[in-house]
Amino acid sequence: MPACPRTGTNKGVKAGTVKSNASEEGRDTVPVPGHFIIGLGRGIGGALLFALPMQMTMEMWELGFSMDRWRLVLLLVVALPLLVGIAHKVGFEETFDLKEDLRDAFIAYGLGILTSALVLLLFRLLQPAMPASEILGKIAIQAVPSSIGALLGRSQLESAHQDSGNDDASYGGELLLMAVGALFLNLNMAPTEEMILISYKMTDWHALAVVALSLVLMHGFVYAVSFKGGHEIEPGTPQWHAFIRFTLPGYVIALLISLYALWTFGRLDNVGATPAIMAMIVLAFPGAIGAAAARLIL
Amino acid sequence: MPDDTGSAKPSRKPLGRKAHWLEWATGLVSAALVLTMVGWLAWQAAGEEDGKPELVVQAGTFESTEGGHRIAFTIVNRGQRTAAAVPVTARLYDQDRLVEEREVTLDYVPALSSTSGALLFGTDPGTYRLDIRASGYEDP
Repeated sequence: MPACPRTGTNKGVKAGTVKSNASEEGRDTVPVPGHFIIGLGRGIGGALLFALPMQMTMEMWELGFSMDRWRLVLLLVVALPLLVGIAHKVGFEETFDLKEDLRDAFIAYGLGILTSALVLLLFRLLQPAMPASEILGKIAIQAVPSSIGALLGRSQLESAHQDSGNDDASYGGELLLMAVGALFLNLNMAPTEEMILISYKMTDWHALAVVALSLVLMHGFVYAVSFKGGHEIEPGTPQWHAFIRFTLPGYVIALLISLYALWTFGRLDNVGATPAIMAMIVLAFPGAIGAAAARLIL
Repeated sequence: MPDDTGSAKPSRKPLGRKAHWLEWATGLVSAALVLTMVGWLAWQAAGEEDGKPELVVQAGTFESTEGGHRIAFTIVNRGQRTAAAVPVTARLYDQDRLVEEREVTLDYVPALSSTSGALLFGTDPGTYRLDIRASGYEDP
């Protein structure tokens, strides 16, 4: 990419511009409480940054009581391995083993529940007269995006974050990052009625055009970002290699996450295959951009 | 940290290794999935002229509820286009005399899909003739 100067990753830039010495000291020693509290603060910030759009979305409040309970349970369970995976890449502390990843994941989950409950209380969406299942449901469904945000808050807001774990990112880690990027944009839009409304307005031809555009945009990001960040793909690798190894799997991840989100939010009940695929393609459009740009936004 | 400026990041080396076969396998499976999806849509698109919603309402079970009677219904859209704002009207007739009329509006009945709902009556529908139909729709 001659157009992008090799200035290193954005994380490298962030690390360079504002440098605190806290994390440098904490690298080898047991983290000091002050540092940990700062980490919690960043987690809360990240939870708000990520989840506030959803906390202020009407459909999300309704899902709190209308959503199928088993799907809610499944969502809450599925979130955990995802959080552990994210914690492995970006945690509250530099993590090296599963125990620490689990700890970070649970801290993030806790922060997600706490911030969701506070924000919903603040908006007077939780009231004592409501049945317990409604209150719990409303908090629980918000806690998942909030907890993802709390974990990402570290990489988003921590100025001195050295993503040492990303330098030797594995292929699986790369795909996980794409999944998180897809979720980042996807979850904001998935609960809204507009997703299915757009798919109803489109014809099959429009959907095919959206698929093509999603892939082209994704590949642009993958190609540009990968060479800027200089990870996985060696310079000189043919374009189509990157397309098959990164762009297509990334798009399929965005599609699958979209499908899961739509199903979770009850948008696919009794819906035929073609309308379901159309809605999936619509939602995967922002998801694809999020997945491909994960290196930039995470 | 020798490289503290962040302006250059030589440490992020491009891992001089060949792609693992698993990466190609993942890529090829993904390609197959995307191609299948595109093929399916193209096939649908080619077959579909300018589709219209085709709505059929089927009355379900009658149930007595507290202070009334419930008629469940399922509305099926067999057409290729989605219908929006669909009013489902149910009337109870005693011979030709209208006894009671109830209506509910469904936000969407997607193409080739079904939606369900219920209408609440004051009189017991069991003894009367029931006429239930979709009265119209909007294009979304």
